[in-house]
Amino acid sequence: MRKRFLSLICLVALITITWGFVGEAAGAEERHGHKAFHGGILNVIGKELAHVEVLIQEDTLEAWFVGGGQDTGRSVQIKAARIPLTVNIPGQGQKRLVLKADPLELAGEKMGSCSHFVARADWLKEVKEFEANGSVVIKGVKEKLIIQYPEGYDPLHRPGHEGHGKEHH
Amino acid sequence: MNFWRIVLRSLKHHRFSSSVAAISIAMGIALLVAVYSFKEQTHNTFTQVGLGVDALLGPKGSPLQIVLNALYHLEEMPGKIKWSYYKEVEKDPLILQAIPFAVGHSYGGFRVNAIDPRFLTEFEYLPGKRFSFSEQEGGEGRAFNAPTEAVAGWAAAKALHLQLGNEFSPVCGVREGDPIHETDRLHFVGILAPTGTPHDRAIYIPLETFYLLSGHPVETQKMAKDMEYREVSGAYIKIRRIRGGALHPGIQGLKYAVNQSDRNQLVIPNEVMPRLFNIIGWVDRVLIAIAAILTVLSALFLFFSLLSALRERRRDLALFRALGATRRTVMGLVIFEALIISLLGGLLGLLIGHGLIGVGAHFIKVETGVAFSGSYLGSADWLVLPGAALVGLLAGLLPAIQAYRLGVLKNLSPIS
Repeated sequence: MRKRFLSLICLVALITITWGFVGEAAGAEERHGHKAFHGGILNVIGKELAHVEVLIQEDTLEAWFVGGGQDTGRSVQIKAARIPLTVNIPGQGQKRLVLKADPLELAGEKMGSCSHFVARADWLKEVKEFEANGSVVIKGVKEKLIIQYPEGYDPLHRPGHEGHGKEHH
Repeated sequence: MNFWRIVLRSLKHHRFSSSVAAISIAMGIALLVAVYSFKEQTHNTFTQVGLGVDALLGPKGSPLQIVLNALYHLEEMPGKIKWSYYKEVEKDPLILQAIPFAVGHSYGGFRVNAIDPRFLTEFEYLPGKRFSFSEQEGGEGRAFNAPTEAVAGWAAAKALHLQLGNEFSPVCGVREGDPIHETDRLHFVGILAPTGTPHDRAIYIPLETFYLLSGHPVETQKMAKDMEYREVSGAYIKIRRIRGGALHPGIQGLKYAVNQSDRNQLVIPNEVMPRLFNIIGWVDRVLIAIAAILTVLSALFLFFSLLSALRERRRDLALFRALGATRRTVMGLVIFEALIISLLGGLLGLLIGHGLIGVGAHFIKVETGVAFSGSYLGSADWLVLPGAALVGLLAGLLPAIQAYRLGVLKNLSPIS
């Protein structure tokens, strides 16, 4: 009787230790998602054709066009030098914002082949949420550009699935 | 007879089984202590210190390979970067310091790192600590200031028995059998004071010397004068800090921009090394599991030896009861016997564990230049004695309960 009891204790201890390791490994595998490399908000373009990561600091909005799916660490080159946006701010109506190309020199970018855009406006300092609409040509295809701040535009979002909010590297 | 004398007499009577039990507990605890200590010291050394480098500018390739080569003088650099690109990065407002270097040579098994002289005079390998040639700190001589001069790290100098004025010819490569630049004779003008970092294990020569070594192709020698043509292996980067000494958050944006280029990347050592540790962390976990199982088996051995001893001592314990000892006293004899064995095992385990670290640390320092200490107190050390006491308590509990329930008359009745 006593031997059986001891054997049971040993078995429970071994299972507990193993379970702890397995549980930790499984938890580690579950923790992945789209990374916003600049600490901004990711917005999907097209059917995950690309993303635009948006970061607002003071009166400046920076936008980086990056890869679709999990490939958010890769830049996507845009030919346009300017991308006009119509911005809808709840309670404040519509405003206009123009994204201007700001090539990343260290990435070897230049005007006409640029992934980084910047816009400036005083109202950006106070804004809490907005939706901006425009269009952009990516890989020869004209796509709608929708920016939802601060939650991030993700039409494929399903309940329980991690969205494109502030998940940054 | 005094309680403690009875306990000690019993331990002496069963000294063989008690010793084996204590030693087996010690082995499990020694392994746990050693693993935790190495794990924590390794983590401190490879992730928190950073060796004075916030980022490494290097060629495209494995970030881990770049970190191991640039900081730990292991592996090989996967390529080169253009001097012009290095200068462009150096101009970025986030960059506090950018020191270029070129690797690929060795001497006596130690890597020869061709580097900008600011490395020896301005670079802080730890916060507030620069390289020193002071004799009081264990150094000698001075930094190089001519193409034929060289400086050795403390560990390299010790291993190769180097003295100031000694001459050498660098090997063009890092493997045995690689060709030697026989017509190039450099001489040591300085030996760095020990830093306790892998920088101790390298030899340093001027960056320009790298290009001028005879035997290099014309294209390489041209790089000595032609900056547009010049290439380097990489650069050590220091980034501006913000309040509280934290790295400027713009480093991620800088890394992103550099990483989009065709040939270059910015690697942050403190991001790469934890990933490495996540992978090899499983080795720690397996070792800790083995140590835990060993300790459990030792506890089981202790339990069975106490149980066996109890069977032999039934008449003695019944006699104690008959002479006035209470059930609790008899129970206490068994419990304290178990506690003493396990605590002795715990103390022995601590000594053996730290001894293992001390011996291992010597070899690790010789091979990698990274200093470990046998006297480092890890998180496991504080738990050893309480843990050993718990093991003893658990192992002795059932035998103690049996001793508590011992029948006096039944065990004092004649045997034959």
